[in-house]
Amino acid sequence: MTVPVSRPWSVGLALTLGILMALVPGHAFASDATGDFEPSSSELVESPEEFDGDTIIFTGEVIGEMMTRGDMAWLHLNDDAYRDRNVEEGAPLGGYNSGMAVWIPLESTKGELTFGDHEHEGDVVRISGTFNAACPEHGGDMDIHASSLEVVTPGHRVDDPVSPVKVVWAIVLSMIALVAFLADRLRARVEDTMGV
Amino acid sequence: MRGGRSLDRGLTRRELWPQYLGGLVTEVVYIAVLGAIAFGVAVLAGVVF
Amino acid sequence: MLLRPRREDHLVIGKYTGKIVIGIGFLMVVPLLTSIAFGEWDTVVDFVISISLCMAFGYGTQAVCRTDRDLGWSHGLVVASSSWLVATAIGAMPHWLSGHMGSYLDAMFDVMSGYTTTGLYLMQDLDHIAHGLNMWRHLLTFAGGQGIVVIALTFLFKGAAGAYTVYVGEGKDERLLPNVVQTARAIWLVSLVWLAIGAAALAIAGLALGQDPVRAVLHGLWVYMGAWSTGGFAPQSYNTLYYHSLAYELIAIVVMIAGSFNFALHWAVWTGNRREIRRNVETVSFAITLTLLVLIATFALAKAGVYSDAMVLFRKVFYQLASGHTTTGFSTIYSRAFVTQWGPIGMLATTIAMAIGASACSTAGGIKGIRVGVIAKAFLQDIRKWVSPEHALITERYHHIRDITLSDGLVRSAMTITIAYVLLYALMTLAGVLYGYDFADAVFEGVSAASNTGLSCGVTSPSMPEGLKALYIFAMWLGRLEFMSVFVLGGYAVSLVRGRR
Repeated sequence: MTVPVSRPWSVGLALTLGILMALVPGHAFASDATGDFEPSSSELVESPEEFDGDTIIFTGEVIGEMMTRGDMAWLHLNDDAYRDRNVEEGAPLGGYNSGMAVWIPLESTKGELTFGDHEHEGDVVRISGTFNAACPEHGGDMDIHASSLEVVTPGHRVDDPVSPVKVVWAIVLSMIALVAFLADRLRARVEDTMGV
Repeated sequence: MRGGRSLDRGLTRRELWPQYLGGLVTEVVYIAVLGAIAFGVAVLAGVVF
Repeated sequence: MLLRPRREDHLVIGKYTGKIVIGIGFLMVVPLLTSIAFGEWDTVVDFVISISLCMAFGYGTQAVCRTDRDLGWSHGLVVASSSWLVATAIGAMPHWLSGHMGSYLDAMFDVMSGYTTTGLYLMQDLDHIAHGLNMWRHLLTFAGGQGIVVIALTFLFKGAAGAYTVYVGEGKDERLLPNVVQTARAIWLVSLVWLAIGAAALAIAGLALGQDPVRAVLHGLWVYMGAWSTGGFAPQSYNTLYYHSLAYELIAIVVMIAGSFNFALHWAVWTGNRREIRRNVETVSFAITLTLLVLIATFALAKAGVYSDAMVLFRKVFYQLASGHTTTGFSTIYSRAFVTQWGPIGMLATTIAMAIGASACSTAGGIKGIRVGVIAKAFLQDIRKWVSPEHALITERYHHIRDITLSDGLVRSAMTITIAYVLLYALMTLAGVLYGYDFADAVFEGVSAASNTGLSCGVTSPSMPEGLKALYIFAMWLGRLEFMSVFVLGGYAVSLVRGRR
């Protein structure tokens, strides 16, 4: 199992973009008003060489946990369909998760971040930094070395409500299972006594 | 023959454990050698290119 | 000639299939308890429903199929293949109820992938799933690696003599000890000792990497299960790239290579025959092919300039290739990076590694080292015959626990299964190409599914054609059970209709 990139249409889009980029000198069209690139994770994965060494802006939901290494830290930002709302709180399915690993000074992550997991929708943060297609400092990992971080949308707790329909099913099915178990035991006992 | 419960008592006798762990260490050493060869290949490739 | 099965045959098959499904139900208690511990009540209900279904099916079938007959040879094979199907159909329930699957077919894909220790998945928004569901994903891949049947043998079969055929039907044919139930226990012993050491090492590494203790322990356990079973599931969508750690990668490599060893080899080495590890035909074959493929991929990637220095080359190439060759499917690169960074040579080397696979009677898939070894020896023997005087008697041996003289029968059966694998790979490639994927991508993904590896170059996705999903499910099942029991199940189905009375 490898790290997936989101949906095929976005892969297709990214492929087209990649081809276009190969044809057009520079990435003039990919830049926004500030002159920085803001590619998505699937665009980065589809054309790593195009963006290698570029300063980019990346926005995504912080996932899992922060893993600190000295005065630096690893963050993982998902810019997928679940960036603002995840499946547990009722978001429609929108393909695989997709994101980028970010290497960032610990001090830029000041304050408590909320990390995305089953109980939480993580903070959506925007970082700016250098994209590495195969970072020599980190064993060839594809990553972004960020210098700044700002929280765009704060995360929140997620409640996964128990569906009443499922509870009814659970009760009915466990009754059936009990009946099947008893039927099996009963037949076994009858056969034992009859010496079959 | 049926030792009952989860593992056969005959297989978990205390005097067997040094041998088991020795076997495990042997396996790790073998894997480390494979890794060392691959590292050697990588160094060689790094020198060539 | 096919004989039409009698009522008694159906009863025997039903009884033992029922037992195995009950086993799956018991297995689900572990994720149920996990969900209770973390207060994931919706997931708790999912597991109560699924356990009830297993028990209803299992005990229901047992109650209907009462017989004292022991398993015959073909019964065992039919039980092995059919119970994997039923276990997949029912085992997919928690996945589907979680709301993270696009369809029930997707859920079955993930569960078959788990049991067969493949590792491809279609689950969406993996990064937000419950701990209970993650426990189930990894537990079912661990159980599949051990062998669903091995588990049932240990706990449920109570030493039925015919149980050996079910065990063989699952693609394991070594008797570590004279008794098949004891063999199952020896397999457990090896796996549990490795579990204790491997999971602890990963958990400690996780703690050092800045995970909080609970997550470090869970991730350690799950990554161990993914590695030992050569499955390749990981708790985060980033797979093992998530950890960004040489130590974590090295521990994972050790566990996945150890997991790909033949259990008979483990047992020989663990009971004092240490030399076996460098003499065994499978470890020798594995070492040779792995080194050759690492050599090819390393030089290709170094030449292409994708990775800058030796350490980076080593970490990326050895990890992906060891993962591919052991048919694990862990990766520290993005799926599409196989296409966008590794390129044709890197993909080819990985594809060959996956196609060969690791050892027989292990958790690994693919053609397997013993067959590659036997065929290579037979090839050399033929060449020696050609260059020797006409009357010279040329014999060839290989070493697996003991020295075995190469016979035509041995070579023939090795060839048969190898050809079956190659045909399955070709079929999956053809299917991929017909569905419109690039040839290189179709080979890579098709081989990955059929060899139960699980590395992906981006073909597998929730929106891939339903037909291809179904074909991959079939390929995973066929590849894991090594054809024989699936063919016997096919014969059983045909004989129901056309067999002689």
